[in-house]
Amino acid sequence: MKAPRSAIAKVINQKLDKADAKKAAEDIAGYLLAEKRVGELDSLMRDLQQIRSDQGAVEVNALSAHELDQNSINEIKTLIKTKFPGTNQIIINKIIDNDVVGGVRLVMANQQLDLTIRYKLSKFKQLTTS
Amino acid sequence: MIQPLFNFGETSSSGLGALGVDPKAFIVQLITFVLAFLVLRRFAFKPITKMMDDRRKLIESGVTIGEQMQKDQAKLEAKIAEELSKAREQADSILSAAQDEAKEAIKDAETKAREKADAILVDAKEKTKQDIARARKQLEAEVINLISDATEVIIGEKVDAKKDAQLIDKALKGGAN
Repeated sequence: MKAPRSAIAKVINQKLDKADAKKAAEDIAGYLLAEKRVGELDSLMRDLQQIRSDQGAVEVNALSAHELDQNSINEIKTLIKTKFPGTNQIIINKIIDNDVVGGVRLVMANQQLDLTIRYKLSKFKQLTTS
Repeated sequence: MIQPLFNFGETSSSGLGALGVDPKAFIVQLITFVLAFLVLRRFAFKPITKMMDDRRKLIESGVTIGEQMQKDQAKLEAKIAEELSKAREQADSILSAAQDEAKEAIKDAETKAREKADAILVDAKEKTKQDIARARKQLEAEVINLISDATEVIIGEKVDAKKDAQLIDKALKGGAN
């Protein structure tokens, strides 16, 4: 019987706290390959982020067309603290994606805040063609 | 020896003798004649008469049959003429009825064809309307896509890092609310 994903995510979280991240990553990769569950990696990472978020460490992927300046980063942190009051650590992963055109998309474990121009254009198309 | 009735050269002076007729011979001749007559009547006249009667009857019956056949023929011809006349009348009435039915059928067919044509026209108009609406919608979608693509390109060119930062700042403040 396969171990549930949430249980695996908990174990990974514990490993990350105790062991070297690189070693932990190798162990996780080996396990997923052995169990033929490589396709669940993204979901597993989201579960892990949720666990860490519950523990007060929020990880955010910030996608933008240009490099985010410090002001933007601070504002993102302020926003996260507003949405997640119990947060004591905010990790922002800056990702450059020209596809967003402008603005920023914040992607968390199980949530997403899309403030990109791409999103607005898609919305515009949807509303005008429906 | 048979004495001839007439003794030529021998004459009597009185009555039949004067005429040259021998009475005895006459009587014998007469008896002979009567006998011959009787015999003939018995053996010749009766069969001949019977035969002639039979022939007469046959002829008469043939004439009667012929007359009867002529009458029958006349009757038959009259009957044939009557039947022909009836048949002609029937044929005329059937033809007339068929013509009326054909006219009705043609009229019906024309009416149905007209209705069908009208229905086809209505359908075609409806379809055209729908096609136009669909085409309009399609065109709208394409125009919107074009606008969106154009906007994207323009924004991509016009928005630099500084402007993007301003946009992000504005969006985050709006997102916070």
